[in-house]
Amino acid sequence: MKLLRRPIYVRTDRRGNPLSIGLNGRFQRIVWRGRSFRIRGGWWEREVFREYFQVETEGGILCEIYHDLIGGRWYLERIYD
Amino acid sequence: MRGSTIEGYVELHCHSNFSFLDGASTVEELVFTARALKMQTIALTDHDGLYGAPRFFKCCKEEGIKPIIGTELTLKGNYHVTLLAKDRTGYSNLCRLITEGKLRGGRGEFVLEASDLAPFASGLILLSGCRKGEIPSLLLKGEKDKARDVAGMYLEMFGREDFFIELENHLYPEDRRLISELLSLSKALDIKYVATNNVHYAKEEGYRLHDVLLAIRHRKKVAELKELRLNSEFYLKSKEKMEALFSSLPSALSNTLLIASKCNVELDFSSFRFPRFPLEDGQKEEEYLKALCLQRLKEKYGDAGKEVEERFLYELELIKRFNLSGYFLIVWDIVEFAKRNGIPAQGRGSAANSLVAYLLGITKVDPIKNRLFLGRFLNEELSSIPDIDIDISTKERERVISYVYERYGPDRVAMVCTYVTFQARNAIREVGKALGFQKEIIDRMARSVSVYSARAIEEDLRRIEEYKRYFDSKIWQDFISLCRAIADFPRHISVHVGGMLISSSPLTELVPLERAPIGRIICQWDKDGVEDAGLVKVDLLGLRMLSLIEEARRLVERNYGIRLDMGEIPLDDESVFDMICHADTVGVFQLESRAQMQTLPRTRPRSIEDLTIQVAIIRPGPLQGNMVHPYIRRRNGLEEVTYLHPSLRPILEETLGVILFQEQILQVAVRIAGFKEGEAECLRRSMSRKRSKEEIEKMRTRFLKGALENGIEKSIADRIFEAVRGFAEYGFCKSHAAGFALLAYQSAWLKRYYPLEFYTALLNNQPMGFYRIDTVVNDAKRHGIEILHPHIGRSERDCTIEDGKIRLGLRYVKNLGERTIEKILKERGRGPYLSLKDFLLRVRPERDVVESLILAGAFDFLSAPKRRLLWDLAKEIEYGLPLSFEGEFELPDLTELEQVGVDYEILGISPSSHPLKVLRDGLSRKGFLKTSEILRLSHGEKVVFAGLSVVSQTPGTAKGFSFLTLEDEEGMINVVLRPQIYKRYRHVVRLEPFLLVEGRVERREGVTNIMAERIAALRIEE
Repeated sequence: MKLLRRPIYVRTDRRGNPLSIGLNGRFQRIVWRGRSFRIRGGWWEREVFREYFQVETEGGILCEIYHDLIGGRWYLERIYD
Repeated sequence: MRGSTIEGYVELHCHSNFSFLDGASTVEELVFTARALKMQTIALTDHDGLYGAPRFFKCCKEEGIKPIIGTELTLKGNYHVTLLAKDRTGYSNLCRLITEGKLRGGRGEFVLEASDLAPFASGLILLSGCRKGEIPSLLLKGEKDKARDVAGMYLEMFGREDFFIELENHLYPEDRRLISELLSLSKALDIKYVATNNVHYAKEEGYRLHDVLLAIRHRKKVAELKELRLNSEFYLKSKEKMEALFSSLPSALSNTLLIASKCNVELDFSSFRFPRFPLEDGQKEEEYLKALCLQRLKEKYGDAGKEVEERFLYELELIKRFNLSGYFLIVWDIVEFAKRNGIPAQGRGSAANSLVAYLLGITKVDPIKNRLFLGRFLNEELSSIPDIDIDISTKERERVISYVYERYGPDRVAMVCTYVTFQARNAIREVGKALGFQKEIIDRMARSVSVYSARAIEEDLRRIEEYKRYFDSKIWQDFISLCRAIADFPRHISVHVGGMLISSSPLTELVPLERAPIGRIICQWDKDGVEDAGLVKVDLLGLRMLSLIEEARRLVERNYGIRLDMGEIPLDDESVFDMICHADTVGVFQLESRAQMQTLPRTRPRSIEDLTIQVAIIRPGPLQGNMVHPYIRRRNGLEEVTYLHPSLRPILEETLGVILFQEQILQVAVRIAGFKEGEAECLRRSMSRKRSKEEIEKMRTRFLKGALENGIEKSIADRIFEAVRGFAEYGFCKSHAAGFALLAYQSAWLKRYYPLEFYTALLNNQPMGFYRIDTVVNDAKRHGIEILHPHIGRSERDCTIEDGKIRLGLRYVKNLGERTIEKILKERGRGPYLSLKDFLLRVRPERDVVESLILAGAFDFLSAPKRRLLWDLAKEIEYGLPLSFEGEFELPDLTELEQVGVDYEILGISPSSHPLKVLRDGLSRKGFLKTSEILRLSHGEKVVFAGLSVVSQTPGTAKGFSFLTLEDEEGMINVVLRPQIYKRYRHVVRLEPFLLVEGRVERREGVTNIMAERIAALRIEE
């Protein structure tokens, strides 16, 4: 498993749930969603506010992505081998 | 699965700030937010308590929302469960359960097991709890079978209709799995499920304050806290948001409505309100009361005359109508107990308006003679529940409280609680610590702040150069806004000074009880909660002045063999009033404050009625500080005595046309606008509670209408209303003032005629009053009373009178605890101490104890200089050498300055000298004047003065002016600092004990002040 924190492009539904992510040059549809959770804290120094999603793409990639709810960007947190 | 339309959602699990150091919103914030979210019902479920219930209930009713009363209990294993009351039975069971858990545990603990719930299940609905509930905890650990057993147990206890599995979705990593397992469980056992959000703050932003509260609770910095919640999802969510979280489980939301419909509790305890007085069979309370009063009516008024009799019968009628006979008898019984046991006690406050209270001996002020207005205390509309407060000599108060518990039974009596809240100082300390600020910075800030409320910190500290630069950084902005948010939050529970609930049925049916730090049983409501719930209480307050007067009285009896009855002293002694008018009032009740001393020479009170006014006019409010009170102006002829309307004359004559007393406000409303007494009392109360503009307008309209009907011109009626409004907030209760005026006179009389006994009692009842003890001692010295150092052979624990002087007691010596004092006295009973060695061998004290005693002068009778004695002590204790070691050496005695320094350190006072006296030669050479010299200067002359800082005040209403009282060996002098001067020298003034002042003499109407221009610290070097 590799820890990445790499910015990525994500397409979402109306509710903000990810539908496909841009990996390896193209958008891969998400076929399975595992757990998701939200964290928020660190406001006394630098606030962190993120929503995490565990997903598997149609290409078979199992990974964890998160949405930075302050900056608005999406990041790839880790890929599970 | 898209379910059917959800009609709504009700939050059934909410914490207010009455979940101490956990909930981050007030009750009102929760209710207002619920209303904004269009919720028609909301539950309050604070931890192990119903602290906020009356306030919550009242607020909901005002906002048109149905309140559900509940609690989150902490069971063995630290597991949480949520309980909601369906009906009165359920509510009582809730109270009993909480009481059981609280009383079983030690201080601050709650001890309850799941099985304890069974006997109290009736009328309650149980939800399986938040993530910390036993069932979810077991499931998270993978112990499905155990979880199932627990669920089965609760199902058995509460039944299928009243037990629900609680589901929460805070977007935590394990929530999906947990919900899924809880659903399986509920399906397997056919238990219904319901969604809650375990709310800890009304709005999402509240999560920061919540984090800080947790940090404070765990005494850690927020950055180091492992117990923080993962995110900010614990706020009051709308139906839509909850729908999104439980989209596949519509019944989780609709079941909240189902539960809400089952919960219907009214918090109206008026039927329990009036306790019954235990009488013999057949006797009625009203008759007993009447008989008691009739007896005394004759004694006190003889052939009373129509007015008195009519008033008496009218009062009795009201008392009977509102079922208050039992209440009056209960209070009478308490006062009788005090009387029987020689414990000074007197009723205070508005109760003194009542003739019945006077006849029963509850109050000592004659309402007929003093023209006191009943309506303020008791009126036809019963606009507020009459409250009788009794001042009791502090030393004996516990005895009286114990008596009440014995008389009515420990299950029917409880002390009212009070909440220690976050205010400026402790907010700065605790929030600062939580945010990881440096301790030194926080300490200094806390000591520099001069406002009380945590809301006003920023404004106050911005005035100090030192802090200005911090405030623009983000972290400090956060700090300030958190302090503001935490202002007035209850931090923990404590015992109220004296409020006692006495009930005719077991209290645990009405309110949960718990143990206060000192062991007393208290109820979970404070005086506002008690009032909101419609219950009645008696306040038993400790008044040190009563102890002082009693002690002085006994000393006089002992010393002179005279039987002194304070009720019999003449109330018109000229020399006593002379003393008061000269502001020679240190130690005199209510008349000793700086503000009083500034005013007395101008108002010159010469009677008890004048003193009643005097007590009332010096109050915090817009008029304090700049002393331009219209009453004072009129009294000194600087303003004409006028009345806005002739019918106001009989009401305001005694106060020269100025509204001073709350009773006058009532009388004005009745006379001018035709209000009924109860209405008038409502008017007064609401104006003094800072109501909204709309409400004041409503009252104005009503007032003007009534005035017009009475033929009073609109413009005049308007001005009268404005005058009423202006004074309503600061009006003082006349009967309260009258009661205090009496005590003020008694204490002044004792000071005038028996100063020795007076000062002895004053020293023995410290801490009390306005001044530090060294100021009291200096005042005594100025009155020719000599104070003697403690003497190991003659001093008792307390101060005593010896040959016309006051001998300081051993308790004044630093490092001497109660047990050591006891030991010393007991051992001395077997024979006097002959030498230092004798003392050491017989008492075997700690070293610092003996050092303190030596330095305090307790061994001066050995005629050896203190340094010598300390040397001997060191040898005896350290080296074990016999004291007879003769060395030819001289150890010099302490210099006068050293002696004064030592006295202050060991005794807190200087019995024989004054620091300024010691420095006088040097100061005089430099041109510094003494108090007596200043009093001879003319208005406007320049002056330099050096003194010990006795009082420093910056009244919020004095527009930035600050006032100092400085003392030298001759007396005290007032110093006035204009706002710019205070600003410039603020730190010096606040932190330095000795000050040098340069300024000009101001003399006005017999009062001398110094208007300061420059201030510096006086550093003492030899």
